[in-house]
Amino acid sequence: MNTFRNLHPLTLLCYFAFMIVFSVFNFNPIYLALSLFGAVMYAAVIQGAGVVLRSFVGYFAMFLLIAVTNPLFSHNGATALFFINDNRVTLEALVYGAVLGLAIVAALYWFRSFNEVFDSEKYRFIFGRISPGLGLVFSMILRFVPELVRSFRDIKSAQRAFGSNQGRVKRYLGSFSAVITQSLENGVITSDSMNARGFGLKHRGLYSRFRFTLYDGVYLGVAAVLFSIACIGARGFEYYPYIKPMEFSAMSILSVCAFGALSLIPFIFEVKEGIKWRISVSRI
Amino acid sequence: MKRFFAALLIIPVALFCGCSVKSADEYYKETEAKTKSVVTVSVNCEKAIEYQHDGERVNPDILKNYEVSFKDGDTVFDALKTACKNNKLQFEYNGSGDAVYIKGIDYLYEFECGDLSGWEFSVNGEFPSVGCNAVKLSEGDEIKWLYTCDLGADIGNKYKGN
Repeated sequence: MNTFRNLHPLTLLCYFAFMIVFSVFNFNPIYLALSLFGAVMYAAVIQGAGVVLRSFVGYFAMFLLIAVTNPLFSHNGATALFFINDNRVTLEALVYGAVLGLAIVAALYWFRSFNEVFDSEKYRFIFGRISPGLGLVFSMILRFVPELVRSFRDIKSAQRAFGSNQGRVKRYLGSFSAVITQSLENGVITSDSMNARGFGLKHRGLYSRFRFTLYDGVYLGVAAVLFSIACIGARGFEYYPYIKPMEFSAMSILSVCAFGALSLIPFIFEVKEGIKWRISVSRI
Repeated sequence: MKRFFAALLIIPVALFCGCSVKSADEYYKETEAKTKSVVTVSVNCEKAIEYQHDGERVNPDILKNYEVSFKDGDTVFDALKTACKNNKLQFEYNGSGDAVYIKGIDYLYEFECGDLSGWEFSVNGEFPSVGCNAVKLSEGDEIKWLYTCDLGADIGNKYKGN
């Protein structure tokens, strides 16, 4: 089955860079809503709707925090809701905070999918060209955190299994020190193993199973074109002192449509391939 | 854990209790008691208009010789506050005590006309080199809030260093 994550790393990297850059630098709620929608739909496809639904709570809390904090620190705006110590708390600042929160949540959802899709193999492929050492270190570091979490969970459950009657803090500290010891040991073993396999020798080759096919080229091209259209026609909102929505012209509507299509690419890709798979399975 | 969260909650609540919160109507309906002593407050953004030259702002005199009555011990900051309140002008300040800083008046903020722009004030033509909440008012003072685009050099208050 051909999925979005099987595209060439370069295509994937460009795509995620487009989405994240656009979401972070464009404070226009229309684009941000489209971006968030695309990110959530894709995350729901690759991680399951349940996981994504459960993640909403945390992201929503973050969104609320940002939305509420902004008007407490920025008092610009024409519509005063109330006054705190002679400084006005305004509707405009609240709206701006909400848009800011939307941008951050959208970017975080893209990063969520990015982490899922971009494994260490792809990191190594991208950075291996520039600096093989850096690529290796990067991919190893990124592996460490999930690895630590996993071994911490294992050790904790092992402790529970043999019925440790220590207090909670003591038990956690014990698990923690065991995890640290284990990972140090693993580090030594890893370096031994790497040396044994000839790490650091000259004239090393780089094997990668990725080939840039026509398919990748087409996807990259389509994404780049949509991104350029979206950038050229993008019009912003003004928030201070009055909220002034973007101007709607043929160009700006085209830009919004292009961005909507761009943000839905991964979702459509997955759904299309899913349907293909179903049909081919039913034929067997 | 519960205790920890309760403690965390106390901080914003305590901060909130130290603030006076009023609705917009309430705030603008308040009127200061009239006293005999009066100062005049002017707010002028001529330099910003020159700097932006095609901006939406056309009237440089946001306030012109507006009379404010004051109590003993009131400061330049209090006069601006009252003047803005009576005219429903927006303004934003930072800090407290002597270190009050005016960030913006009538939606015109510091740094909007370059890195050296912002609001400065003069009392009877003199620019005090302290914060506006550290200068006490006296009868008949003429307070001018001027927007500068060049750290005061364009409004007659060249920065001389320390």
